[in-house]
Order: sequence, then C-alpha cells, then structure tokens
Amino acid sequence: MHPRGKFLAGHLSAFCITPTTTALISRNHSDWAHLQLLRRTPSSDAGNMNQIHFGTASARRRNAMILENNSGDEDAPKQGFLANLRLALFHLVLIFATVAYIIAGAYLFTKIEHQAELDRYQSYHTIYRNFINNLYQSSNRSVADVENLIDTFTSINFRAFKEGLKPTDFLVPQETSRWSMISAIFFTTTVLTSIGYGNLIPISTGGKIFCVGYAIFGIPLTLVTIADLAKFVADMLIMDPTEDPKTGRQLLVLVFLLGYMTISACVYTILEPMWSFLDSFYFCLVSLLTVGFGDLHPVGTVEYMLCSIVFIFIGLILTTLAVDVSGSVGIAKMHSIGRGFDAMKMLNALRVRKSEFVAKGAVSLSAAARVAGRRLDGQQPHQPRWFAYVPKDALTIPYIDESANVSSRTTTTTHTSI
Amino acid sequence: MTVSMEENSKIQMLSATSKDKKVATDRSLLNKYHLGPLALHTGLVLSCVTYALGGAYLFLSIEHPEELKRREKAIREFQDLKQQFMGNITSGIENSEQSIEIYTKKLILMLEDAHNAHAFEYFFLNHEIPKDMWTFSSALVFTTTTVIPVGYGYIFPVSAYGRMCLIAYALLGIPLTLVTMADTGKFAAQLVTRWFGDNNMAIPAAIFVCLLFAYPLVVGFILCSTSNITYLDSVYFSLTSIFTIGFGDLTPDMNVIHMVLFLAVGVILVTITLDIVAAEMIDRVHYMGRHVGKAKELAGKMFQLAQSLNMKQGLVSGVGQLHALARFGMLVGREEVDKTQEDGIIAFSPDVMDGLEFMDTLSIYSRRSRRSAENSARNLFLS
Repeated sequence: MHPRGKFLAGHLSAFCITPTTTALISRNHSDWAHLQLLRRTPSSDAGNMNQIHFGTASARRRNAMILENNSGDEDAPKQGFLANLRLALFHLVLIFATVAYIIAGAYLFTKIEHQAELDRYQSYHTIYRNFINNLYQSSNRSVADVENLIDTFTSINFRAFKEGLKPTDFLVPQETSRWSMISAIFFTTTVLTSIGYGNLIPISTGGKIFCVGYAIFGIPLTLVTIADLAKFVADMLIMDPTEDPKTGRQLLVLVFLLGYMTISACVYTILEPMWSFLDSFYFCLVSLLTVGFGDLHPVGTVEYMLCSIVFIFIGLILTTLAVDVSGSVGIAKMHSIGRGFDAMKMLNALRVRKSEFVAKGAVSLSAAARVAGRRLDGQQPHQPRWFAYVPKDALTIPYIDESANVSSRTTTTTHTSI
Repeated sequence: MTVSMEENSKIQMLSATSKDKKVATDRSLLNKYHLGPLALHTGLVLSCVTYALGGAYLFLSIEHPEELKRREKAIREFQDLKQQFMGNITSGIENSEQSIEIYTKKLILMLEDAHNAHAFEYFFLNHEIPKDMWTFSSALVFTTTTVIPVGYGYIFPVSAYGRMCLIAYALLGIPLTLVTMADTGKFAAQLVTRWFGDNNMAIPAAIFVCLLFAYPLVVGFILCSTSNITYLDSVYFSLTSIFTIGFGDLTPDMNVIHMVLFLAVGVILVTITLDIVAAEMIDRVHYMGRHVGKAKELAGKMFQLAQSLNMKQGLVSGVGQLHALARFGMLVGREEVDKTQEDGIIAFSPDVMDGLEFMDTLSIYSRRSRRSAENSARNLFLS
C-alpha cells in the first residue's frame, strides 16, 4: 500500500501546481449536491479500481505525465486575459448590485422618513412654542403652577425623544435632519447585514412596510455577496487542496479575526473620544457577530461613517470565513456522531478530492475507450470474463507490474512462480 | 447473540446488587433504543439552555448593583437639573428662552443613556418607584438575544466587568448556539427531504420558503391579538427578529419562554431555508465564469492521467460514468482523444494486455477451487 499512496500523493501534488485547478477542486469539495450524486453512482467502485492500478504505472509513463502536465501549463497564459475577465465580471456585477441596492434603499428611506419627521417636527414645534408663551405669562403664577408647567414640558420632551426626535432639532430644522443620506446609508447597511443598531429606525407606516420588503429581498443578496467574497479569501488560504482541513488553519482564521477586531478597536479608541479600548472592542465584537445592541454606534462625518461601513463589511467577510472554515466541519461532525449512515457521508466528504480526480479520470477513460473499443472487441472476444477478475485480485498486481517491466519473461517461468 | 445476551443478563442479575441491576438495565435500554445519538443531540440543546440560564444569572449579579447606583445618581441629577431650571425661570425672565434651551439640551443628553431614560420615565412621569431593568426574566431575554445574535438592546451591560463578560460570553455562546440550531435544523431538513423525496430538492425548498414567509405573518397575528401592538408592527417586529436585525424599537408584552421559543424556531427556519436555497446559489455564484476553462483543463489532465492506466479497466469504469461524462461533453473528450493518438501513447497498451490475459486465465482456475462466495461475487459482477 505504501508505494501506491506515495504515487497518489505525487500525482495529486503535480496537479496542484496549477492555481487554476485549485478553485475548481474547492468548488467540488463544497458542492454537497455533487457529493450526493457521487455517492449514489457506482463511481466509488471505479475509484477503488483506479486507485488499485495507480501502482502499476511505469516510471516512463510517470515522467510522460509530468511532461504533459507542464505542456498543459504552457497553454494557460494564452487564455489568461479572457479567462480573468470572465472570472471577475460576474462578481463585480454582484458587488455593484449590492452597493446600488444599499444606496437606492437609503435614498428611498430619506424620502419616506424625512417627510414623517417634518410632520412630527411641526407638531412638537407648536407645543414648544405654546410652552414659551405660557412661560412668559408665568410671572404672575405661583411656584406650584410653574412646576406643573415644567413637568408638562419635560414629558413632551421625553415623548419626542422616545419617537426619535430631538427638541434641539426644532431650533434649526432646515440644517439638521436625522435621516441624512449618510445616516440612511449606514442604516440600510446595518439592516442588510442584520446588525440593527436601532439608533435610527423607521417610524412611519410607509417606512416600516418598506423596511420589511427591503430586508426580505436585500438580506439574501447581501449574504450571497459576503459569502462569495469570503470564498475568495478561502481560496487564497488553501495552498494545497489535497490536505484535509486542519486545526491549524482554523485557529489561524480565528486569530486573524480577533486580530482584526483588536486593530479596529484601537482605531475606534483613537477616533471616538468618549470610548475606551474596552468600549471599542465591545462595539467591534457586537457588530461583527451581528448582535448590534445599539448602545454604542459611530456618529461623525461622512468619511468616518463610510469607513465604518467598510469596516463592517470586511469584518463580516472574515466572520463568514471563520464560520465556513470552523463551523461547517463542527456542524457536520456534531450531526453525524453516533450515526453510521452519516459517518459514511462524512468519510466521503473527507475523501472527495481524491475521488474527484479518479472519477473524472474515468470519464476521460470512457471517451478513449469509445475510440479504441473496436480494436479491443476484435482482438479480445472474451473480454467480459477477463475484465471481471483483475481489479479485485491484489495478488496479481506485483506480477502484472513485473511482467510489464520485463517483457522477455517466458510462459514457463510464470507457471513456475504460481 | 440474543440468547447469550439473555444468559449474561440472568447471570448478572443473580450476582449483582440493586445498583448493578440498575446500571445493566440502563445499558440495555440505551442499546435497545439507540439512545446514544439522541442523548448527544439532546445534551447539546440542554447545554445551550443551561448556558443561557447561567449567563442570565451571571449578568444579573454583575449589572443589578450597577443599575441601582446609576438609578440613584440619575434621579439626583434630574432633580438638580429641575431645581436649577426653576430657579433660573423664577429669578429672571430676560434669560428664560436661553434657560429653556439649555435645559432641553441637558435633558436630552441625559436621556440618551437608557438607564437614565428608564428611571426618568418611572420616577418623574409616572411618579412610581422605578422597576428593575435587570430582573432574571429580562436577563434571560438579554442572554438569549445575545447568543442568537438578535440584540434588541433593551438592556445591555454598562460596567467594564459586565462588558468583558459579554465579550467572552458572546464568543463562546454564539458558535455553540449556531451549531445547535444548525444541528436541529438539519434534522428538520432531513425529515422533510426524506418525506418528499431527496432526488428533487425543489419541493423541500419551496416548502421552507413558504414556511419562512408564513411564520412572521402568523406570529404577527398572535402578537397583535395578545398585545397592544398593531398587526403591521407585529409583523415588522417578527421579521426584524427572525432575521436577527433586532432594532429594539418595539417592546411587545410577551412571556419570556414564548419569546425564546419564537426566536429559536424563527432563526432555525431562516437557517434551514438559507442552507437549502442559498448554499447552492452561493457556490454557483462564486464559481460563475470558471466552469468552462477549468473543467476543460482538468479534464485534459485527467485524460492524460488515464493513459497511464490499462485501457480495459477504463472501458468498464467508463460505462458506469455516463452521467458524469455528459457534464463535460463529448467534444472535450474527442479533442483529447485526437491529441493522444497523435502522441502515440496508445502504443504501450498491447504488451501489458498480453501479460494480463495470461495471468487472468490462470487465476480463474486457481481461485475457483477455493471459495464459492468469491465465485458468486464474480458472477454478480459479470451480470
């Protein structure tokens, strides 16, 4: 078994030289539907047969394989530009669609909620002015009346605060608005990433209805985009796709995520005067795990808010990557423990890369066999019986290999050895 | 085997004490009903529940004293602010408008703190003793909405120690809860898939999407009937909850257990639907534009690898791979075949085939006299 495994490792390593092969292998590894198809077809037997006979290949054919592989690499640069363009175009369209969705939603939210805000402003402005007028007449009133008036004014302020308005907005209504474009973009970002700070929320009926529809269609789009970008990062991390996922890589991803949080926390500590390092780290963790209490949230200039949005997206990509690397294996193992059927499924998943190579090799074999079938049928009329025995006879393998190397051996010698 | 097990149990009953009898009974029961895996998954769910309850107790013990201190401070500050405002108004009327503005700004600034707003609402507006924000039930809602990352923000830790605990609590609790919900979701998905047939994934996907859309509507109806929220607000609250957005702008009157169950079931439903519908979509999207070139290149390399094997084995293997062949297309294979013929790699096969033929003939006669089971296996393979 040892020479066979060594040969397998050598050939699989040779195939991994080309980076273009890596992504397809990753795709096949993560394609569970394909794994189901692979498991149900008799390809497992085919894989076993091919694996048995890898050891019979001669050194000359092995060298020819490597040379052919190199010639295959030489063909890659010819299609490089077109392949790269086709590769990047769809992903750029997806990212652009997500960004456009966020900006369009922000624009619509500003239109809907700003009008509602103006209506509420008018209402509270009237009450505010009434209080001022009453206060001017309070010089003739008793202390108790003044106190009642203040309590009424305070409760009005409190209700305005609860509904998201600030009485200070009354003073300069034209210049300040809670639903500015950058605030709305930040709001739509936190909706689509399901963080939801809650510092800025739709109050009107139209705003709430729009928010419901916006979230239903926007969250899957955003999740697909973030998962797509996370897979790119995962592809960069996977250097040797033949290796099974190891604990080292999982820890590396987690450490990288925590490092990203720590660096971001340091940046926020510098930029936010009221936040300590603990507050900043707390904010980063609550954001990137999409909890989003909303007790701490960035407020500032347009550039600062845009940088916060970029921070959120990059962090979510890393979080998704960590979940893909660590969580999926954990979930599969946890679900499969104690079940024979699912254990086989997990074993198939772990060996899917090798099986993929062998299965696709069989596909090419069938194509070659179609061309050579005529000659074979003519020369070997009894081939069904002949085929049936060789793949499952391990004892015959050394003999076949020996015979291939030394073709001058006579029939008498063969009979004697048996 | 059954008889021997019975004999063993009899012997054990004769020689064992009552404790040993109980152990034997438990083991036989476990083996009989295959409770091992069930115990594992149940233990996972129970560990999540225990984690939430333990966290609730932890945060309650940390944050409740802090809340009491902050409440007293807030009440004192509000009283001072009010007295100062009254003094300014009664003393001089010329600066009254400026005093109003200062008072308003300070008031809003203090209300930004949720603890201050809570104390102010009860003490000054309703003239009641403020209720505790951190009760065990509210702490349980807090821990649940933390590990299911909803995060309403009704209450949150304000002390440094509380925030440190939250960082560790979330880092450990969120993966545990997500794994548990994904594990539970897989059971449900497996059940539906088996029931409706696993060859066609469209039907389970449609079922889960319909359930996902119906769930907020049904829960919204229940909420608006039991609480004072409108139906639109109920649906809005349900949807923002199960998508784990969690604005926290609405606080429906809901039992803690009902809240937890609603969140858990909703998030599991979202997880299942995304797993069934979106997982394949993500793979397709990610590898869009890559299939043609790389598949062709990989097929070419695989074809070259295949040339090093005996072509007769390839003939048998290829017959079983017709479906996989269709994915790559005949053109690719044909092109590679032509290329190989030009290289003359096929010339190596006849030597090996001759040797194999002779070897195989001898092995037939030598094997047939040994095992009948192997012969039957061969016959099955031939048929």
